Amino acid sequence: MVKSLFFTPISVSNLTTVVRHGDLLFRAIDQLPAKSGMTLQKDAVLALGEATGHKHILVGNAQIYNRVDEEGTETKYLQVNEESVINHEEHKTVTLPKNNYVMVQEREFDVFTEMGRDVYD
Amino acid sequence: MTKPTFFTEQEVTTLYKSFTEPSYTEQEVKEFVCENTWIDGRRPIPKEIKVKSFNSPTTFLKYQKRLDVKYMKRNYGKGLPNLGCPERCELDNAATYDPKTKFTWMRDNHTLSREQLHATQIIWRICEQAEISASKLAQGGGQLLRPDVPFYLKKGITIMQVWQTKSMKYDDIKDVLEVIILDTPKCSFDDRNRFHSIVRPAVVWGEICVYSIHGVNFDNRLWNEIVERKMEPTKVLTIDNIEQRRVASEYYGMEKLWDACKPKLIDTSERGNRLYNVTIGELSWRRRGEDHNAKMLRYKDPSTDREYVSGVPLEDDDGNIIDRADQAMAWKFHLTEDEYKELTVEG
Repeated sequence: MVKSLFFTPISVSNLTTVVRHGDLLFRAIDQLPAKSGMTLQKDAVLALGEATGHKHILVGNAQIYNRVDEEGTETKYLQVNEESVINHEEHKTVTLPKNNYVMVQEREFDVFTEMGRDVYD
Repeated sequence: MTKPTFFTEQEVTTLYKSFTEPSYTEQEVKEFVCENTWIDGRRPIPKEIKVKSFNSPTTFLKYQKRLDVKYMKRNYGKGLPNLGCPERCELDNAATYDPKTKFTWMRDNHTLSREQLHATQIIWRICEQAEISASKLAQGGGQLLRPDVPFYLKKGITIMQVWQTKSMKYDDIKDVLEVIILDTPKCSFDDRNRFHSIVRPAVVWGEICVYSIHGVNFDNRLWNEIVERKMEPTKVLTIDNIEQRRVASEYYGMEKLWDACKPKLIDTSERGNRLYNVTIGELSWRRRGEDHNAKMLRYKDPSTDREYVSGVPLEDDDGNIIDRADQAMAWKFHLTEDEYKELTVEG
């Protein structure tokens, strides 16, 4: 019997490589950086709004790693072992399929200093 | 432990009434203490109950420390300083706060209503903003807000602590109790129960003031400039914090601010992003004396439908002139324009 390709289940992770959640973006990556250069985050808070107190929170079987580069910039990496979700007080919940991700912070351009900077709330 | 939950605005409406003015009387407090306090496994038999109220957590903490020292010395002398405060009457705490995760956790054997749990979170958040150690406030049993005691919520009490002023080694069976109360903060809310006031601090707790517009906090100086409309339109549109920028723009009126920047529409995308050329005055020292033109993007958050304004550079990272709204949006998220077009999961 020949199976129709039409009915072949397609892994969600093959489709979802970039997920946006408010001012955060999660981009799927093949491999995490070496764990020796990263620290495992103990809590599940991906980002905290200074002026609102709102939090982006990762819920599920997943780990968050923090990596600080030579310039002192911190980047978060996510190892999502099973489909997980990101919650926030105001944003809709989004699902992250099983995969590795790098978290990207939205940026903007300061028109006075003419420099790029991360968006923060 | 149960995982924390977020609440809809409606679910917490009733709660907020207790964060306006304390409404307890001394008699109510005395009755509550007699009915709810335990001393060595028995209810107190009051001879005298002194009640003292505080509206400032700092003053409350100082007085609490004084009482701890005073009654520890009186009851146990100077020789047993490690006994803590045995005469402070307490119950198990139903909710605990983890300062690292900033969550309030419920214990399995307790059931807290959502509004009760939310009340604790409000207090913790105010403590954080005011840089008061919430753990210090709750020291000695974590009575902070006692969310499992409706009396506290209804009457506007944050903490109530009771001291037995004599130990049971004395023959006099009747108790002399000293009760200290920390009132809840006085808060103002908008119609969605977010901290909000444009005439006074949205939260006043003794000397602590939190300035907030529709749930977004400001420092005193920035809040004053906004509510008194002292800021120039271009400055409002370029406030560093994007949420402060949004609420300030809404307060001023977005279209009014926008018109002041002499906007020229460059491109509109199907996703509703709009790229503009704007004139933002001559604030850059390098361009003093001439109009400073810049590119700004107006876009909506896909899940909240709120509108934001962000500056974008003249060129993207590859040196291409930014002349399309989606190209500008892609730059904001470090994506290529094609990647941004394929981005379908947004929350």
